[in-house]
Amino acid sequence: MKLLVQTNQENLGTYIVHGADGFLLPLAHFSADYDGSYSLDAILNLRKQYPKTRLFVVMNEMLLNRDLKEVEAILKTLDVHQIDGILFYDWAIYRLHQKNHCQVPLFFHQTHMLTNRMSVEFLKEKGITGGVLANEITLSEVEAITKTSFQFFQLLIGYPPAGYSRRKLLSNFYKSLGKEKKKDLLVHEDSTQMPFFLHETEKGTSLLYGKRLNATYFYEALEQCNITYGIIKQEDLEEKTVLQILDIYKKEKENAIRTEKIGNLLGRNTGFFARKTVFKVKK
Amino acid sequence: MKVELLAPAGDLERLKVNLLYGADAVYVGGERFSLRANATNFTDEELKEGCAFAHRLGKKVYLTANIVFHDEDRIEMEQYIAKVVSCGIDAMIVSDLYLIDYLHKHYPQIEIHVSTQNSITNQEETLFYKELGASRIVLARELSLQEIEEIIQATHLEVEVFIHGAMCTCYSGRCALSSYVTNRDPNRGGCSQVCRFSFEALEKQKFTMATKDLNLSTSIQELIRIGVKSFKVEGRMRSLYYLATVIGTYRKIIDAFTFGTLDKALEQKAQEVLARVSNRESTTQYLFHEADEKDQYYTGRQEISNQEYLGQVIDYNQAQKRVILKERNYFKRGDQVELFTPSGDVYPFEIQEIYDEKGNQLEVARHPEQVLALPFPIPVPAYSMIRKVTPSHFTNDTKKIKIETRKEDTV
Repeated sequence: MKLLVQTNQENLGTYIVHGADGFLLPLAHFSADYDGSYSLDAILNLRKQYPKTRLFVVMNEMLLNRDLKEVEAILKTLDVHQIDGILFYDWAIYRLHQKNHCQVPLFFHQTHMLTNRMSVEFLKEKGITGGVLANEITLSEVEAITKTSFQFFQLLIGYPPAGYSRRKLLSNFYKSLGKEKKKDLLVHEDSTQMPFFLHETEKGTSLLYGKRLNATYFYEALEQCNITYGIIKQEDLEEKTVLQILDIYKKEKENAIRTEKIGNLLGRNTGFFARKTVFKVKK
Repeated sequence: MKVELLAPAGDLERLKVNLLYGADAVYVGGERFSLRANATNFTDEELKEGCAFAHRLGKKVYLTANIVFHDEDRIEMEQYIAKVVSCGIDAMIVSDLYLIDYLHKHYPQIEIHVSTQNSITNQEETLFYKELGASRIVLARELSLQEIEEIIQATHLEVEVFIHGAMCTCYSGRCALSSYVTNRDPNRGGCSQVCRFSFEALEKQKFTMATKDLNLSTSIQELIRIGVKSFKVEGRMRSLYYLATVIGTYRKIIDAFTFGTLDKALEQKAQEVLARVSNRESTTQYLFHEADEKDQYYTGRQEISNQEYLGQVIDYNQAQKRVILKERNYFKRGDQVELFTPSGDVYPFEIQEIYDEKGNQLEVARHPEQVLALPFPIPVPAYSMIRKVTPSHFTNDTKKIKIETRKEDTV
């Protein structure tokens, strides 16, 4: 499994030295649910600076008609600058990619949607190169879905996205209080005390589950599933912690030791890998 | 252009009430793949009966199968699809890409409506689904009038929009809050409505993100003008009374538009009637501006209870000139009420006598589900309903019905 880091730093060299195989680069104004973003110019500079490193651009924003021209121009630019792939949410990107005969690989990134094998087969038929698995499925589901040739991305470390709204939830909240707006807020659900981070941009508000996923316990199993890319999101971690994590993944051969060491750094929330969600609560 | 009023039906009785009160089509959930896994939903037999009922009236039934599939949901999916198609449904509302493709290839006679679960927000995305075989898209609820119009003009695909009912805080399909807080998967029908929960934020301040409801009753003209084909009402788990009132009201608005009689006064009355069955405040949400702080709530609970629905007419006794009804909420002699019918007639009157099934006269009706009779001079059909009103509530200009009381014995 190759390790991709999502950071908001422009100096990627240190991460590469410590074993990062590539990076997710959320594009400013056209990405959601990620901490930080890069302008198109910054991404093109990174491409020049790190020509041999895998760079994937994230464009998972909900697009409106008024965005389409700009998105089309961006696709054409990325296409000629040999970006390793675009992670997309909106099928408009696929249509514009087709229309312009772009060659840059597309990766499906509808946050909660990649949950079954037949959808993968559909995506392959459409010429999609890979996709980001939903975080709300079990390991056995991952095992079943990945029995096909497709480049799968899996979040290993980071706060999982839990919701995305067009509403300016924080602007509205602070306005209702008569207070000055802030763009981030941590809230806890009253009865369960489950934490959520809210982050607002000019396009809407992301809600991230506030317990960081640490999938290290399942790392070996995910490798056996041929997960192509594991994602490590830096978010509120210090750079040195991310480097430590990379060191552990790259150098430590025993999964139990890896799990222990990273667990000590980040906690042990293993998400839904071993916990199946339910949906029918009445007979 | 003929437009469609599309109503939610959680069960067979709701299906019938919706169609009788003026819906052109209903959407229902079957035994599998519906995003309301905990609604009653339709058995195959009920689905057949519902389709037959609708088709006799020249109306349609759409089946929702709009979950985000997991592999285990695919087991016997093909058999299930074959079965529900054979029940007579006119369209399937779906979100899964593979299923859209599958339906297009195997059931060309079935319309494919792409669910709002896909949160379609632009014309290119719409064209993607059109090429895939969709005959209609249900647009994201987050779009403005102008954004909707642009999509219709650029794609010439049938467009359905939500016009009334509860709103999600997040884009449909882009929310898993329920999975994280309650372990219930919202994208397979288990949504526990976490966006209506209360949260603790800074300095013990409560934070909520709940939305007010959607109500576009004063915007129907604009929506017809820009080419919206189908007007969808939310709420497969809503009561018969709610559905009868909401669907009946929108029927009147659409018909008035069609016949050139829609005016501000009618819209105003419609607003008043709709407000009476609502348990939350409502706004136009995104239609004319980006939804803002006025479109949300900032307190813990927002619902208010509504007990004005008094009973549902189940029969009319011609000889005794009495409506036979099933009681829903407490009422008493002397109450000012309205009886309204599926065809849109409204009769205000005062309850002067109440009889039980044995013909005993009662002062009050206090047992929900009890069968009662009230003197009423005009024959009215089953599924008419009675609601409590105050004088300011009266919804038409007709004089109150005068009830002549007679001494009779049994219901």
